[in-house]
Amino acid sequence: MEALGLVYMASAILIGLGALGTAIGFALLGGKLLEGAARQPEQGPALQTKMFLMAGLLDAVPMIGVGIGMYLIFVVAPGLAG
Amino acid sequence: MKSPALAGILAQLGFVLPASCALLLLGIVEAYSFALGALVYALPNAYFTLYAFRYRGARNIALINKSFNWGESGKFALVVVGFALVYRFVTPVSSLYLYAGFCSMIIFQWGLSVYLGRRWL
Repeated sequence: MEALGLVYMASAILIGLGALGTAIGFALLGGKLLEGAARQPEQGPALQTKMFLMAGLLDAVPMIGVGIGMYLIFVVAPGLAG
Repeated sequence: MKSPALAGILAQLGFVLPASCALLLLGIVEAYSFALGALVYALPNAYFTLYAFRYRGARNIALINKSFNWGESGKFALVVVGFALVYRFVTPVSSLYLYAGFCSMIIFQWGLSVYLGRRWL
């Protein structure tokens, strides 16, 4: 039972910290986009493209974390519960 | 192609379908697990792309920022729901091939986002 609880906690931490990391990354990215576009409005579309690229890189690691978290919840935890 | 989200999902399906067909040589469970893993990433990503390209231009930069945030939150939630649905309703499923499909889509997405960014903006 203790191990089962630890598995659920581990997956909650994985998913939660992944979401937190993405949120911080997007906040920084969005802030820089606003700053850049305010400084050079003609660069707006180019900055949007770069933000799209960065968003793809930014969310890769948290998404893998979500996948591992789901694996722990749906495969490892039922195995431990018996 | 009018929508980048549609173009993105078509490109991803163009990668997944042949790969899944090739995996049929190993077994049907491996093939559909790979395809499901890829879809768990591709569908939320199409949702995100739809939001990312909703507005354009420097005038709309605040709206672009807001829609990026909405798209990313929705993508995150959809990935969680996608995995939950696969594990709840699909048995048997090969976790190794499920994550192989999922991770291959993440890597494929890096190249695809360069193309979509250049093509639509």
